Amino acid sequence: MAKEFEAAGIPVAYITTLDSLAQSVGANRIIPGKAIVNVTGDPTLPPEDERQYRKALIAKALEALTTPVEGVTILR
Amino acid sequence: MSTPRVVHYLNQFFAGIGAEAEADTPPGRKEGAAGPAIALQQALGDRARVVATVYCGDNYAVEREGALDEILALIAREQPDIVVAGPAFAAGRYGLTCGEVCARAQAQLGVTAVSGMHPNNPGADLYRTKVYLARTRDSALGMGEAIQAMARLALKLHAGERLGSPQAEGYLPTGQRTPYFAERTAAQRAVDMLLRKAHGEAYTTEWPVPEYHRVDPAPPIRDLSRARVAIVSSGGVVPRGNPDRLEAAYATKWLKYPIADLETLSPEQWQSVHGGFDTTNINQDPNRMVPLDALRALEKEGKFGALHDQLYTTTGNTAPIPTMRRFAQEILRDLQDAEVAGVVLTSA
Repeated sequence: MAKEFEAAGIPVAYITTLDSLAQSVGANRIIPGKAIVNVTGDPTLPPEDERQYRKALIAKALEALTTPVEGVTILR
Repeated sequence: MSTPRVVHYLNQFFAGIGAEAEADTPPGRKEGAAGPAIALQQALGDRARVVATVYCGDNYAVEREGALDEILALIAREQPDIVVAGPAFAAGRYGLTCGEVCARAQAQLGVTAVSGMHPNNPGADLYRTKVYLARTRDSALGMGEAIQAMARLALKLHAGERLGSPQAEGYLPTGQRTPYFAERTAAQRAVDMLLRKAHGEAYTTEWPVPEYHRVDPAPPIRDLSRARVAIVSSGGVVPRGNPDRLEAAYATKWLKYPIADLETLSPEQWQSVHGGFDTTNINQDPNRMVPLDALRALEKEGKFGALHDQLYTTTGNTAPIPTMRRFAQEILRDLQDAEVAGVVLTSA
């Protein structure tokens, strides 16, 4: 799905735990997520800390949308 | 010559430990054959002996640094001659792990290694050029045939016998090219295929057009503070009760739901129906798959222009690539109409 959007000129920040798979398939802007069962969350953290963690992760994803990349890139 | 020693690698489910709830199980070992390894031993007869069954939880294997090293260490201790992994059918995490276990067993231990999975398994295209993968059905209904195929391939490979074509031997094409003299020239075969196609008759391509293509990255957003951003997810997040009946696997549709008035996705009103992993954590807090609360917070701070007012959602579990491409093309029309400048996409 990421590649279809990109082919149409819309950059995609793809957050996934299986970042090596996304890399092989060829998504261009990949942000590793936390875990399979909570890709944009961390239940081991207290709720407020978890929200901060998620906010930082999404901020990274938004930054990826403004980052020029040459090809498949994992942005940690 | 002594009987070849076999280690069978399984995930936590097939090893009999438990289902998704036990997907964090660390690597372990059982003496002799357990679970499908018993059927493997039967298929091998007296030509090889399953000395141990090594297992690991699907999540542990794909998430933890060093998990593969731990698994390989357990396998190596058994001094195997042959490693069999899976079959993984359509299970993505399992297929990826089986492929990697076999690839490392070959490279690091120098042993024969065989796995099995469905051609659509994410592990299939990644590993079929490195490891012989028996072609299986997409569910455990195909266990019997898969075990037979893996046993046969393992014994043949271990004996150094030459394998026939993928079609004849039941493995996924490895990309190897073996020259041979055909009875008819390529020109004759091509014209024959063209005539069949033109007459609407059945024909078999000699070479399927490969699916994975590279896409040039879209140019970055120049001014994020004015950009409209959309959230799209294949994590199966839907309103509680799944009113539009999104499937848990083999999705036939994508859905969109208005989120303009929402600051967050509450567990009372949303859930995930994704059938490929344990959705408990997401059902406690759906923002853990569709990060709406974070996007709203950043939108309020002016970090980006506006969050698009629809959530696009589907289930990526066992979804074939052509289907997901079609979904994306359909969603694209909405995005282009709304002049969405960028997408945050989430999946497991």
